[in-house]
Amino acid sequence: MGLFSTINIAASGMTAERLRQDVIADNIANQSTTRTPEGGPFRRSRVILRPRVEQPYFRLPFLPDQWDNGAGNGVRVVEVQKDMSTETRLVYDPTHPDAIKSGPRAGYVEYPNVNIVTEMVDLIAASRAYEANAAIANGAKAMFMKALEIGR
Amino acid sequence: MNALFGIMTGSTVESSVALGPSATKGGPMRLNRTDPRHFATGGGVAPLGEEPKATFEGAMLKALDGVNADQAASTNAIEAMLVDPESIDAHDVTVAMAKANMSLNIARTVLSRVVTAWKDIINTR
Repeated sequence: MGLFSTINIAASGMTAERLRQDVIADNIANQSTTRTPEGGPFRRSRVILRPRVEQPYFRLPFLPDQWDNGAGNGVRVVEVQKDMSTETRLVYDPTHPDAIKSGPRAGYVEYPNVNIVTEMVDLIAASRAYEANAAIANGAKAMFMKALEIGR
Repeated sequence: MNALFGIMTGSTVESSVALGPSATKGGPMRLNRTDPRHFATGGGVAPLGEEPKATFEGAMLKALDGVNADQAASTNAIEAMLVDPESIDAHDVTVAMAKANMSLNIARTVLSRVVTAWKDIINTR
């Protein structure tokens, strides 16, 4: 517990939400991308988060302060993962240069598995979470100001 | 327990103030060397009475260094935002500014309390 622990935790959440927003923006920007360096259509990305702790969780009655995770240290990003499980969208367009040439799906173009509704919902969730973290930071500052007024 | 330990070893045990994980790196206990038979922490025998006394002035100067570091971090964040906006998020800047504001506020409060105490003392009659 330090002077800025609450603000640091809130700032980590805000950074994570900003990254989520960037990833959502990338997904939406690439919603019609049919060609990628890896081959195939663009796949939507998602952010995987985990708590930011310095050591594994464990609690003992006489654990020294520096081994105790306390209230936690905020959130960190594990990775930005490609969603390979959701099906891509098939659109029949034989004149498209990326159309499938042969096989049962000949003439179809594979479009990314980006669902605009899902992305918008994720965007709203990210903005609301960002706002919540900002509210936490403001609350921490208001608390601190109240503490300074003690005994005045 | 500390007093008992002090009697047994002829020394006084002083636990440092735990401010957080960053402040408690290393051993949490510090031994004041009060007997010539005590060994110094780095091995060998240290001269007696070498332990620097913690003064209010020293603590205040150290705290002001921290305040200054927060101000410098805030300035750096603002500069980064102006010079290279791609490198920094808006909330990083405002958080740095809020931290600088908070630490300066607490320093100002402590100093104004000190001045108040000083005035109270010189006005004693």
